[in-house]
Amino acid sequence: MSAYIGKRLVDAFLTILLVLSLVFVAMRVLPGDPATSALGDLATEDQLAAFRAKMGLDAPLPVQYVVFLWQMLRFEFGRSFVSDETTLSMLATALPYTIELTIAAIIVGAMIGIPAGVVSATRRGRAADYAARGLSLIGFCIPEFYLAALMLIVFALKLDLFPIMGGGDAFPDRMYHLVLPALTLGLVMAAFTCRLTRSSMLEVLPRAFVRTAQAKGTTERRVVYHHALRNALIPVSTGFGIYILTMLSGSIPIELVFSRPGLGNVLVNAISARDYPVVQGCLALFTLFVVAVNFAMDIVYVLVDPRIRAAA
Amino acid sequence: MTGLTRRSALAVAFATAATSALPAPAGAADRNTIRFGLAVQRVNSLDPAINIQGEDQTVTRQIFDTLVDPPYGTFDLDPRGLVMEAAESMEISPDAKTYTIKLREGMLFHKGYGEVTADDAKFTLDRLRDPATGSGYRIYYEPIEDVKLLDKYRFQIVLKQPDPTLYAKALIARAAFILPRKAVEKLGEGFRRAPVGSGPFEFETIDPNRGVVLKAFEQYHGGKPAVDGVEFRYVPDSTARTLAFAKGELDMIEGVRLPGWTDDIRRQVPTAKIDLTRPGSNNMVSFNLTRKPFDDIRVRKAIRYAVDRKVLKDAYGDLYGDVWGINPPEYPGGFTSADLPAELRYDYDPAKAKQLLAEAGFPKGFAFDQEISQREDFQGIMLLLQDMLRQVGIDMRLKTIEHVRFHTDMNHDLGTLVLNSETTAPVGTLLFDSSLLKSAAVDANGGGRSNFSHYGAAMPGIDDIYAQIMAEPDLEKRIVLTREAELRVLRDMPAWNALSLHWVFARNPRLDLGYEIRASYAYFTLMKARFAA
Repeated sequence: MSAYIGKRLVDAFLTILLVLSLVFVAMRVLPGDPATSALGDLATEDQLAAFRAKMGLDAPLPVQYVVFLWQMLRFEFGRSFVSDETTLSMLATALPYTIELTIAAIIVGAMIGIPAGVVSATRRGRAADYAARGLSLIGFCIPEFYLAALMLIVFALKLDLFPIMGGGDAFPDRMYHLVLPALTLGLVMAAFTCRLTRSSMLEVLPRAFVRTAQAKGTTERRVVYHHALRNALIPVSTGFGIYILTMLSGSIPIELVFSRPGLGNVLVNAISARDYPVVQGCLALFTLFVVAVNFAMDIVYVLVDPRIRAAA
Repeated sequence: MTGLTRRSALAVAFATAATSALPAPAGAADRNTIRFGLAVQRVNSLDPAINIQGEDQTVTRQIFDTLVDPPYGTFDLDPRGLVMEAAESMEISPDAKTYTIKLREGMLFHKGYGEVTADDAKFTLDRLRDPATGSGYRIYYEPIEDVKLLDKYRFQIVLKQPDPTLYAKALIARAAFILPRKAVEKLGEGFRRAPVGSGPFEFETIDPNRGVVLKAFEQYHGGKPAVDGVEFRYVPDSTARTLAFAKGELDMIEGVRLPGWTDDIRRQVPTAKIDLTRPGSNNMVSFNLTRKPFDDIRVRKAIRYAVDRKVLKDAYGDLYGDVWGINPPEYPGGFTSADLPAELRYDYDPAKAKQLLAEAGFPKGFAFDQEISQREDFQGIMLLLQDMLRQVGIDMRLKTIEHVRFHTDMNHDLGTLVLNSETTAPVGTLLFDSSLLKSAAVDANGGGRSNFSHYGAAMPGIDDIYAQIMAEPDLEKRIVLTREAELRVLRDMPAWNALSLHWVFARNPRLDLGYEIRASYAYFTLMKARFAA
């Protein structure tokens, strides 16, 4: 088991190194001069050169790369070229907003998607099944930013139930500001979860242990939720892990539309300004998160599935 | 169908209680603080010497006092009618080489940084001129040879050569906001995020939710503002900004400079006040004279005749401003239609355009490629031009790219028919400086400024007249020379100013700015703003 974990840790480290290297190269290959972005179009060549020297942008690329990796290893993300804030403080301010959105959306997605999937599977071919499948199809098709705009118009503008923008201040206000973005992101996730749960349940329901439970006179509710669903949740949890990763990128347009001060907002602004330290810091954080989730999923598989444990 | 179970009844009760416990959003009627929606993800620098985006200036305008300014809401730069803000008086010597300025006495900086003195003004101007500061506005302060202190409140700006327009470029609300020497030296780079000025509002905090928060400065020399403060909120998404305004969460928003936006906002909020700052941005379209077929004057003129001003005007409505010469009519000496001979007005004439193309060897038209920025104003204009050119057989194949990359490519001379947007003070030579002089011609290494046509380099330009203008101390004579240069440009047609596109804002009708906005940069003071009862 420890050898398995050690191997996964080495994999994780190499993945992080590879992604960070790609980020470094991508930012330098991307057209656009960070000095011009920071100083504006009126800056003279002397000013631009002084800026590049100050920020180390005039050093040869291999030197910049080594400095970059050394900084990353020490969790030194540098200062924003544009605002001169430390990248770490920018990320620390933005991260809680993204985390709370992601967690809330997962809860919404699971609370709606799993029961809908179960109902759809247990009532296969009936109205509830068609409704659940139809709605999940719509959830797949509708772009998140469009759904976000619809949510704003209906629930914030017309019904005046929720605020339109911002992330909120104190805890109740933050939760209040979280409802619509989380619902938007969560509904899209619910569509995915519903279909995944349905197909998994349809695989599990005909199995012998389910029939045995029914034959023993167990109530229908207990058969479905205690016996069938517990087994059906193994592939669902895998799908969940993958979806959480895609949800990070999905949260970017949601943060923009709802004007939430999260990581997505910071990242988009930094890319357009060619603010290398902030882009690198954001993507390093995203990478760490993705790798950590993958690592956690690997460990969960081992704990859940004895066959993988034996192989490990 | 099942009845109401205890579980579902509890769920309904919980949801009702939770909803009723939610805090209600504060409407404009409940507060005396202006909420201003900025179209950005964040402000970058609140140091006025190092403003990085237009929205930074929207904020710094409220925190700092400028020396002088045109009457609020105008671009009227007659020196006799200027508003004296931090300055009490300004005298320009007859040779236009010396500006003597006296500051108001008793003006205070925020946060206990003491009285505003001539030493602070000298420090501000010297700092703007210093290459080490890295100010993008340094170009406006390069003509200054020295800033001399005369006494505690008086100082003198000595120029290298005559310039009767220096005040309009360098002393109004653009960068010349007086900074406290002590605060800048103490805070260093931190000044960008915690600025100290002497303006009507003092900086309170930058908050990820509330944006930049300012509060009214009790000891402001012009009297404490009527509102308690201003919150500049970050709302980059135009839909969210519009909806937040419609709902009353924002009192004022930056508009979207796209065809139909003002109509949309009027439809959604019929009572909204629309503020337009004329002339707005100049939209220069340059022919790359080093690329065929744009080296042929007949082709350039054909394109001009193919462009129908009415189409642009109909599309942009309120946002549209006619430009007949290079400078908009709002600039001193700017041409109007009536001032120009018919052959230089380039009135829409597709038949003439086709005839010129045939004479140039393109009876069936031609095709060329051009990149455009993804920014909404660039997109709108170029798509309209593309459609008009298609009517005379010219196929402009557009490729949309990200804004920074677009500028990088154009600055490396990769353009053919290049649109560039530029907002300047209403001084007739500024568009020459950036877009028409030989020294501003772009090159493959990224040198030059915004002369994408290579006018003056690929063919004789206006550099000789420009030298005369720069040596001329008399403002009226400068204007005559400027008009002469404009006529030459219209004859040579290396570039044209397709339209001026006004900046647009929507405002809650309860919010009275204290003056009417007719002309301005894209930012203006809120010192006189108040909420009506």
